[in-house]
Amino acid sequence: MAMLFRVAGRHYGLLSSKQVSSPIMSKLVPMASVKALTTKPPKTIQEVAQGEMLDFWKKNETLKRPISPHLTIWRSQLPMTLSFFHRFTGVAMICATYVFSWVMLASPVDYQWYITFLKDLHIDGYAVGPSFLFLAKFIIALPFCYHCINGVRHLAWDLGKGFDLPTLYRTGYFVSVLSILVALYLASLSFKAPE
Amino acid sequence: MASSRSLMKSLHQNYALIPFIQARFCQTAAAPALHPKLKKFSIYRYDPDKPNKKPALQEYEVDLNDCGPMVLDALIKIKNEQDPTLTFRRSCREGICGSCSMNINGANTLACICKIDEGSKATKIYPLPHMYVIKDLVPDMNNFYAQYRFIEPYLKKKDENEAEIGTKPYFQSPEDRAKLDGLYECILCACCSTSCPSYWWNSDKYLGPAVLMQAYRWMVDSRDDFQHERLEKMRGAYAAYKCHTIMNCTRVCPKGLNPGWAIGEIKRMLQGYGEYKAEQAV
Repeated sequence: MAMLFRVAGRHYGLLSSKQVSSPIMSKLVPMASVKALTTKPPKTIQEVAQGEMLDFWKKNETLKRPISPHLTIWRSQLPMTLSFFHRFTGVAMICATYVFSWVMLASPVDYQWYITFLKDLHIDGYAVGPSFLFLAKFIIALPFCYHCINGVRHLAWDLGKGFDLPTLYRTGYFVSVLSILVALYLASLSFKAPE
Repeated sequence: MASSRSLMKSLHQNYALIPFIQARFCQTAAAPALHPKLKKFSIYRYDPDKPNKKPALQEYEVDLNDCGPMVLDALIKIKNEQDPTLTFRRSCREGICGSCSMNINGANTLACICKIDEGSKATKIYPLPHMYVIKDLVPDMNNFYAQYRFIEPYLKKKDENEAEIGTKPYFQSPEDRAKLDGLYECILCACCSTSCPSYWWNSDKYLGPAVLMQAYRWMVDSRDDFQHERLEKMRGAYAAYKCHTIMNCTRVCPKGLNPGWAIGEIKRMLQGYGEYKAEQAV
């Protein structure tokens, strides 16, 4: 296998035409190199590879071969799920910011009205307001906390740390638990207007 | 003397009789009637001779008492005894050639080293994900091989005389050789690349974890002189940077290697490389 690569490497560009001049040297150099002097330069290995890739796509599209199932059959695992949520929370936060801004622009009342409405909400005589507000705050805080803390994990990867599988799982569990706890704490904070 | 000799002679003539008796009685005594331990396998089937028929799962039942412990043993048993049209790649049966890579119970592995799960649920067997299927469990690997060829996976030396090749060894210190550990053992089974969602969506431009790890293997080989050119190929949005550290690759590698880490190292080598190149040009 290694020999094959050596030969391929030799053919594709290591040849030096200058050595072929002496009759002794020409006996040592393989015949193919002498022919290469007179014909056009051989394709680079990249061109060969790219040609093969194009042939691959053309052939498979012509034959209309099916593509094997992927998302539908894949068993989710923790690192993959966490990576998905990192992207999902990032996109969700951006969308929420946009939607909130547009709703507020279109709304006839200011956001204080909505907060007071939620706070004083009663269903069947029960004051569900405070719990609703807590839930709303938790739902807003969780994506932010998760994305931030997992972001630290991403930065560690950029430094080359934490790539082995046990560390990946340990940091993964740690990040998920920590983000839930921090989100719960943030949601429980209540703003007290200064006296 | 004569009697013992005649005794020996009669025993010698009947010499096959005693072992025969032993074997016959042992045979009937030692075979316990084992209840067949049946295990279901749901296997993806696609027939290129019937292209209009959609690919579907086909169920087979195998008696595990009469079968080897690995999924490949079951596949071969099914092919031998139940359905000779079942098609799959296989060769070494010991986890070193990389032919039998497929998706078993939702994760990519080599069938020859994947133990059959003896639980009651059917084992689901699919080809490698998001690959063009030639037939049944056989995917078209040519794109993968072309990408491997693209990174030039062989030793390249600068200023080398054609006649000098093979005359002297290229020395390497033990420390430099140790850098290749965990990289050279790749068997190119494609389990990692086909487990990567980024490779699923961009297999035309993104090189994939297997190929990138081999690119890194040649970059850190101290005997190779083309490190800068190899690194140059990694620049751009697609070649290496389509890796979003999803880390499915490390999770599924049947040889226990870490392609995700190798890609992280490539990205670290690329950090600041743009400015370095600009400085060199000036």
